[in-house]
Amino acid sequence: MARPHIEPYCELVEGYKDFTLPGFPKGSHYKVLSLDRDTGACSMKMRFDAGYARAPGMSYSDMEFFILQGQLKIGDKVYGPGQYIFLPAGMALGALASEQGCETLMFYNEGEPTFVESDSDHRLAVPQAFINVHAYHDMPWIGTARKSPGVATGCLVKLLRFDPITKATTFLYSMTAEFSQDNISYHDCAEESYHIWGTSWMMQFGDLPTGGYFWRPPYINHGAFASRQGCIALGRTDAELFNYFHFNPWTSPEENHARAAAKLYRERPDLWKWVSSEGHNHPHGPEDFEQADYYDQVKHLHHDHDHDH
Amino acid sequence: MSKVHDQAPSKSPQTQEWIETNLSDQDRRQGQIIKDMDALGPERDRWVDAFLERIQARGFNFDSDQKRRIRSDEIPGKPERPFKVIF
Repeated sequence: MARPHIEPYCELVEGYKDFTLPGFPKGSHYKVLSLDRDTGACSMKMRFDAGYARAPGMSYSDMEFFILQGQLKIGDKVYGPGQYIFLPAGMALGALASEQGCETLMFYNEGEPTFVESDSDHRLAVPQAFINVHAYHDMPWIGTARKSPGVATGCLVKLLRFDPITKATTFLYSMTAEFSQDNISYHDCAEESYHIWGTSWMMQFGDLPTGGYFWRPPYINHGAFASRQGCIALGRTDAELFNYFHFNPWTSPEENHARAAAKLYRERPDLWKWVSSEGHNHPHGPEDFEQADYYDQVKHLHHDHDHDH
Repeated sequence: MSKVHDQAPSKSPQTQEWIETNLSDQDRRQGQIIKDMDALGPERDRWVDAFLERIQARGFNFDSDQKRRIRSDEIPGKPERPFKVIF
């Protein structure tokens, strides 16, 4: 995803702008947290005025939202802070209404925000992927949810969404008071976070307070980590999150990339040789006989063209 | 990437303008972040010194709570290039 490195950014210092994109009703306001310059995909904080109402409808993009404050009625149910929804592209969502107003995080994953009034799903929608969960109440905190190497005790996670094909995740995480972890990390994936409450600290960027946000592209050092009084945040990745830990504060993304590739070479030498030889290393990747549709979609991401393998 | 997204109509001029305006704002925000992070340099250097001391005294978290004390001859040297944290 083509978003720049935004870290740290505290949105609380910015004012809302009126949300006036075609198709959307009046009465909502936004702050862009990050925006993909190629696709228009974006992460936003939004405010819906008291009395806001929107007809049932769908988006052409997968979208996620998380209620921060206030209440939002969807269809005939009223939801409050902590409600997380993943809405697959093309799936019609019931009418929205907010009697007293509310604030949410909104994520459009594939393209710019779109809305089309509709009572029924698009014929290509995958409604089975729909998620609607109360992140605060409906699931327990767990320790390191990732495979080894993991984060230190005191960083707790609730997994809200896991994409079985890309391994992209959306999760709530919390650091306990006096949490600390003395290592430097980077990942193969982009990582994004919004601090719902509390302050955490990273050695590169300093404090990330309530309202703090980052979008961090892959292979960028972050950590050591600490939180004096604890924090709770919503996190997202666009692919599998693997923790590459080390203790050299000055490595570059290129050096980190090379180290990650060296790990792959050590662990899967035959695959490495195959990928790096005979023209198999094209950016859109090889065909997957089990995920032919996904191959087609990824090919579109890297320009629509034919390519011999 | 969903198949539905392939069916999206092309962006209207108003939508394109919205994207361009917000990209421009984002560029300004990132420029300010780079300035702020450059200004943090001296304090960050102190944090790095403290980190390198801690991993020798208390250990480096190599996996969860498992720690290993780093020997002084393992401590990396600071390279000549500028210490960038925003990319």
